[in-house]
Amino acid sequence: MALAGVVFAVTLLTVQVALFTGFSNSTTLPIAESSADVWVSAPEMIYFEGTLPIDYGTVAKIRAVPGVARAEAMSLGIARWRSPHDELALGRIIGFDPRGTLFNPGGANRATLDLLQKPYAFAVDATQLHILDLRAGQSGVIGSLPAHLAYVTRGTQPIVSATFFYTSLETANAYTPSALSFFSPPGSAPPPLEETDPIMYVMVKAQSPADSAQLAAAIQRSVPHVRALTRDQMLAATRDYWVKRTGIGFILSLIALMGAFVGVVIVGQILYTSINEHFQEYGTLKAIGVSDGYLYGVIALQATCMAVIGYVLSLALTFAVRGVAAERGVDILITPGGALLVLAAALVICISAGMIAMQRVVRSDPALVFRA
Amino acid sequence: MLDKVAVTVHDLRMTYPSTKPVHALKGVSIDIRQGELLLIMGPSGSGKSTLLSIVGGLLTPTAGSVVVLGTEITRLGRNELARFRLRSFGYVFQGFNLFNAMTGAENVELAYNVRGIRGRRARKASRDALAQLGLEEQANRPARELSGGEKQRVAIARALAGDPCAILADEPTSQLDTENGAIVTNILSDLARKRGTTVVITSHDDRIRRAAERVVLLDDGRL
Ligand SMILES: Nc1ncnc2c1ncn2[C@@H]1O[C@H](COP(=O)(O)OP(=O)(O)OP(=O)(O)O)[C@@H](O)[C@H]1O
Ligand SMILES: [Mg+2]
Repeated sequence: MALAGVVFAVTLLTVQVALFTGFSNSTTLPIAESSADVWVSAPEMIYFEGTLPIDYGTVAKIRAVPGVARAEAMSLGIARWRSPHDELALGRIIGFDPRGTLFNPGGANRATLDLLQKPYAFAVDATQLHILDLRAGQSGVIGSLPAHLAYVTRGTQPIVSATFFYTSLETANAYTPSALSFFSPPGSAPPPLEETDPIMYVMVKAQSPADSAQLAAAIQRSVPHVRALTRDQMLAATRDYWVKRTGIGFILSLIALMGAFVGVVIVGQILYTSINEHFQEYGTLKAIGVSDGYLYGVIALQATCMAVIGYVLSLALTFAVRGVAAERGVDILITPGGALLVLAAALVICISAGMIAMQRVVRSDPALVFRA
Repeated sequence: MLDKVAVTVHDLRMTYPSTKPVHALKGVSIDIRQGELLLIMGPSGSGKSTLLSIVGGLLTPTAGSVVVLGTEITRLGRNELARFRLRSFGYVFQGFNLFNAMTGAENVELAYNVRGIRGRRARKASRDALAQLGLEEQANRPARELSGGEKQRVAIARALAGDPCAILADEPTSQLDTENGAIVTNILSDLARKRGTTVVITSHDDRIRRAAERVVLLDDGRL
């Protein structure tokens, strides 16, 4: 019974922490999906989706920088989606070169990736299908152009972002409203990109990945009006934006904190009840003359056992919850760091609650034992 | 040896603070010799448990002193007093106060553990102590399954852990039937006579009176 309470409290905390980790991890998925060592963008870039366009011509300039092994473009546009049943949804178009090697959402194999070379073909995360009101093999409309679902990815969609449509650069360019005016009649393939066409990022593979910081600096020196960040800097910028600048990170940490608080109360209550049940036994120990430290040690040991057992069970429970959440596109991520954090929190919660509950015994009058 | 004074109680007064203060002890003085079995009798509310608590270092008196083997325990601080209790006293309670989830042997072992004797040595000492009180069979049964007399014998074995200079027993037989009361009384009187342990008992029980070397009567806080 007592254990059930601890498991409940620790599960609450584990899920909160894992939700937070999953959220913070999910925000950076597109960057994590890429094998680029350096990300080049407009100098105004704040986070992955918050940036301004640069010219497609920048890619060629970056390829010329010594130390660059590969450079590939990525574009980012807005998609107005209309489903086969005329349901509307707003999404984002991520254009990339399916023949390239630096971006491959969901890690599709070559043959699957090649499907995106067809005009107006896109891939989308499985969790988005119901938002798009779409089933495998169906087509919809983006803007005023057709859009065919080529394949479905898994684990690529950030919770916080609108649906990501992955397409070729050419298709993405055609879907982007500013390019509409040049658009050739339906049925023909979208034209290749010109030097002045807008893209958002140049993903760069370094010849020696260990020197990506130097490479970023070199790119920034030799190419005007760009900002070059290493992969880690890019990840941090995007994660920090969501976790620190938006309220979402705050809310999730607040909820995690409340989980910890509820945990303290529940565990405290349980240990308090347990100590009360055994009050006479603890009182007898006190009368015999054991030190306060011994009494605290007894409860600390008990609290540690509770914390560890509760922790193990709650991890199992969290993994179960995880499966359910994943179907809804919510990633509950248990990292070793997060798991350690929860274990430490569980220990602190249980032990401090135990100490507080034990105070009653420590402060009690030892002569109580002679009063029947 | 028998004439050596183990405990000197001098002009002990105890007033329980409450809305109407209770004067439980009104100046009690007595010497208790080493190896003596002292029985404190008296009507309910006369202050027997209060006196025993103060002598046993469980309660600090309002005034007066208790000297145990040269140490004035009424002057000790909270933690020093606890250490003194652990070293010098064993307690036997009216309601046994065993750890019900533990076996008899574990109860005794725990008393050794808290005195720094652990592992195999504690287990052996616990078995030996129980065997001496005729409890080999019961050693491995949970305390809650034992009879009252068995429980009190386990409690005595526990009180003897660490070889205390005095055993303090508050109404040790009042929850026992005649036969078990007699067994417990015999054990306590043997402790005094054969081991030289000072035994202080409070009781209403006339059967203990026969075993006691000295009986004092407490009435309304006075001897
Ligand atoms: N903690 C306390 N606070 C207030 N009064 C107390 C307290 N403990 C005992 N008393 C009072 O002190 C007096 C002596 O109590 P004590 O328990 O020493 O008597 P006793 O002789 O052991 O009685 P009994 O035979 O019923 O056990 C009683 O009037 C009792 O009500
Ligand atoms: Mg009493």
